[in-house]
Amino acid sequence: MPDNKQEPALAAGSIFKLLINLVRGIDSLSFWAVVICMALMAALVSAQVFFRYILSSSIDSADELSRLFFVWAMFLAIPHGIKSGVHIGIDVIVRRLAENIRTQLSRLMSLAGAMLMGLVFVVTISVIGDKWQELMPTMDITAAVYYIAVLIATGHAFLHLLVLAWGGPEIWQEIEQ
Amino acid sequence: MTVVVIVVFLIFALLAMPLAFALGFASLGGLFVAEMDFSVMPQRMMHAIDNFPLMAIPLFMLAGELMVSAGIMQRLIDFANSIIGRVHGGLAHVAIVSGMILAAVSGAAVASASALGSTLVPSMRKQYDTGYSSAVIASASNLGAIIPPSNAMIVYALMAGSSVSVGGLFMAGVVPGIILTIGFMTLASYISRKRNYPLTGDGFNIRHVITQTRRAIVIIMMPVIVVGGIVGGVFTATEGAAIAVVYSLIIGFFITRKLKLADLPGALFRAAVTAAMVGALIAFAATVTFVFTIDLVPMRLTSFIQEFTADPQVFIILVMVLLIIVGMFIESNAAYIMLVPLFAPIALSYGIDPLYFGFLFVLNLVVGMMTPPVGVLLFVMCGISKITMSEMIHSVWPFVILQYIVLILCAVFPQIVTGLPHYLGY
Repeated sequence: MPDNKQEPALAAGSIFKLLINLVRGIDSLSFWAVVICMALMAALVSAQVFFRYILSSSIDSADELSRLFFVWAMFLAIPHGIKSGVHIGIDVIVRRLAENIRTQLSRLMSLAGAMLMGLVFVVTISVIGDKWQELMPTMDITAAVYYIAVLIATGHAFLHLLVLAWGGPEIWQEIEQ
Repeated sequence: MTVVVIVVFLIFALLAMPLAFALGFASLGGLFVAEMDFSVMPQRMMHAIDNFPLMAIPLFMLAGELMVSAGIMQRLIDFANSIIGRVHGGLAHVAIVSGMILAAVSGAAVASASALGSTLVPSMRKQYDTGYSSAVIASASNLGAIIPPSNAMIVYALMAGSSVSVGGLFMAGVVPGIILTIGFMTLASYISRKRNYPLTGDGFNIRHVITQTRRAIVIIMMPVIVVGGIVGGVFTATEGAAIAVVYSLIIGFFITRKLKLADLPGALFRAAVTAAMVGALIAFAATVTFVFTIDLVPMRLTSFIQEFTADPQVFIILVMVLLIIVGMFIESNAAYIMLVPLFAPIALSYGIDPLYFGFLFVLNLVVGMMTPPVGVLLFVMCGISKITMSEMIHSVWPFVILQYIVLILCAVFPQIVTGLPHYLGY
């Protein structure tokens, strides 16, 4: 029997429970991907500075690789920002509404956001197809690798926004209490 | 096309959708009306983020995270306390001086507010009322966007294109930053005397000052090396930020010895998520900018404003009034990303010094971050101090008014802003 007191939102149904578990799983994978991309980006830029100013040489492809890791880190971190609420909006008008209406509006906006992410996700698949034959300027790797980050980010963001639309804006606080 | 973009953006933004996503919908609206392929959107998003100078933002944020994890706050506070702890409003002065130094380490106002607030508010509460303590911390944190290195200035320079250099903007912030710091300290002294707050901190002792300076010197040297290198043209802002990260690691692992390997994933992740907020705005705004460009909006806006006035001063006043209003309601990064590409070229066409215009633009929005009723720093401080917004607003007004006075001074006397960068050859 589900513990309604601890996880009220999860009582909504088994599909929602599945969605939450899926998002949690992707979150933990994505957490480490963000950490690794950030670490590699910082290490590459630092190493390039050391090589350029101390050894008067440079690492081939360091600039391009560091930019690639940066693009991946930024896009993969966007869905985490949805969960932690860092993506700021204008709530001057909405704050004056009754709490019930505010919650419903927030769910509606999350649903709209999910549709936006879903659309960008679908469009990005075709962009990846178009770019697959193109290579990165200094490496024999497909240029589509940049767009894969956009694809993962929009897919992940879609799921996060779906959770908020389904469970309401306080869903993660309720679950993690 | 442009009207559709603006209307769609306003509808979603006013319904409290995150601004980045509201920009996404506005982009879709513009592309739909222009009968263009939606595949433009991911391409523009990716190209906007695939930008070497932009990497400076997460790297500076990471340096700030590492410095705080390395336990620099206590050293900074001890250092400031040894010099100015035993005067009226001593703890407030300690907060302001620590905020000024932290600003030169982290470059971000909200990050500074969290670091300063969580460290200093508990002690300040014992001496002062919570509203005043929070107002002081918010003011000290706001220096983060003015004193170099500043993430706000990096975003401005990116959006303005080649007309303004990051190093020049950094230097433009030095003198106004010092004026603001002195202003905050004078105001804190006045309020503390008026309210008869007790004297706190140890008496001035030169040996103690030397000891604390020795402990803090490694922290103070970081902005000197990093900003000095950027301004001196030795390395770029992104390379400077990478040096700041390495420097923070050395301090944390070998000098304070408080940083652990286990702290690194959290610091890397937090820096990425905070920077991704700016990243999402830049990515989604890129298609809006594209739609505006094909609809000739910058050109139309330039001719419209030039028909309205030929006087550069009137243009500056108009922009400042607009930014004050925008700054109260819109997150400052969103404002840079949406408005700098429109107004920076117009300022150039009026012959306005790009450093002067750029700094006023940044300062306007920075002051907006603290201006009631919706300044983002006020919300951050209410969260940290657990006070209501009305208590916060009641206490913060004198500090907000002071910032507006400095803003007006900078606008009336451009030399305050441009003197140092021009002297250094920018």
